[in-house]
Amino acid sequence: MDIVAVLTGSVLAGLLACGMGILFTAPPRYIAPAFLCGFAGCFSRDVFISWGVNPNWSTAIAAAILVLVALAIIREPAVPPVVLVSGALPLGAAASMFNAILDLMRVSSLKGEALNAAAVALIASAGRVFTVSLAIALGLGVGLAVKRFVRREGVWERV
Amino acid sequence: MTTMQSVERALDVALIVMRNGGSTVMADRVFGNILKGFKKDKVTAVWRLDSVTALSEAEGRPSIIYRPVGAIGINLVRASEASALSERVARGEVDTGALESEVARINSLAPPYTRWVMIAASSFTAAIFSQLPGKDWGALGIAFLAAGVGQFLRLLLQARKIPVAPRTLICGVLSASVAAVGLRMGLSQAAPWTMIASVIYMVPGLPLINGFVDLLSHNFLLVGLERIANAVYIFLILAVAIAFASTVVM
Repeated sequence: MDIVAVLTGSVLAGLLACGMGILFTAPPRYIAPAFLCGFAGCFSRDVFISWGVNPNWSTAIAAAILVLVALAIIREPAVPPVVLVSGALPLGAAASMFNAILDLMRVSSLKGEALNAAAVALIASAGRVFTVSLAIALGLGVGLAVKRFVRREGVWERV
Repeated sequence: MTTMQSVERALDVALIVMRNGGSTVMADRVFGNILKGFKKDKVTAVWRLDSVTALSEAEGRPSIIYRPVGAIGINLVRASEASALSERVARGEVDTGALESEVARINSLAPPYTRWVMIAASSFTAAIFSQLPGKDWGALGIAFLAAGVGQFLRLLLQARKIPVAPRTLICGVLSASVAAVGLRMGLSQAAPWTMIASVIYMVPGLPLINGFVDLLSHNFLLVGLERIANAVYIFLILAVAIAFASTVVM
């Protein structure tokens, strides 16, 4: 595992989460938590991938971890969704989505071998968009379920 | 207060969530919390992206309240405030009589950032995104400038109430064209990533994630699908803008 590359990517993801938080009009007090969530999400995903875990499962676990990080640093009854959404976006599939649409536009004008290659690229990009988005939503759902359990049982107060 | 009036008040607060970028799951929870504060149950809300219908019973007869959602924007400060208010109402910390003034207060909350901060955030976000595949100072400069110019125009068009689709297309073409000019000048070789970074500030990440959250909750399947379709539509517009700029400029 190249720890420097993982840390650099995670810091960039944290900064991206900060920027997205501002674009989503998150209150200023939530910008630092957004950074930490973006950092934690990207860091844990890259670490799990480097351990050989499937990238989609790694993304789902990372999304759950970022909910727990948000829960740990924001001591409010409800974790603000803006922090979760901003933190989860760097895990997202924006680039794959664009590639899928551009491939779709390209496919219509190609022939022969180039058409085959573009069609395969299109299917791969579309599949990545679907699985990554689903993995993020699943991870957030699991994290929020854990949060509800912890807060209801008062476990958090005892930790 | 009658059941109908309670439902109206609950819808007022829940619609703040829907109109300002919250998920349907969150809006429905807010709706339920407010009704809990009124000690009313047996009220069901049927959510769509464009409207909500509340079904209840008043004086022994079934009654229906229909409310349009209206334009959906992003102001998560309002959505968060509405959610917090509903929690306080459910716990009995806020008098239900004060709800109307609280709704007016939340609706009047301005975004916490000025226009220039938003432009700087767009440039910063685009610049950071352009560095994700690896360090490339040319891509950073191009994305920074392209997103800043695009966001400046976007805020101007938003103030003039231009609908989302044409606004996204116009700003997407502008940002992607600026990026394409920079790429044509040879400032960077990472063409696809730089072009995507230049329009990243308009990526509909929030509708996409809200859509999946709704979908996974299993109670709001159709709204989730609507949100995802809406996000795909915005992605499509942005991809058309990128393709147009690439063809014309590069």
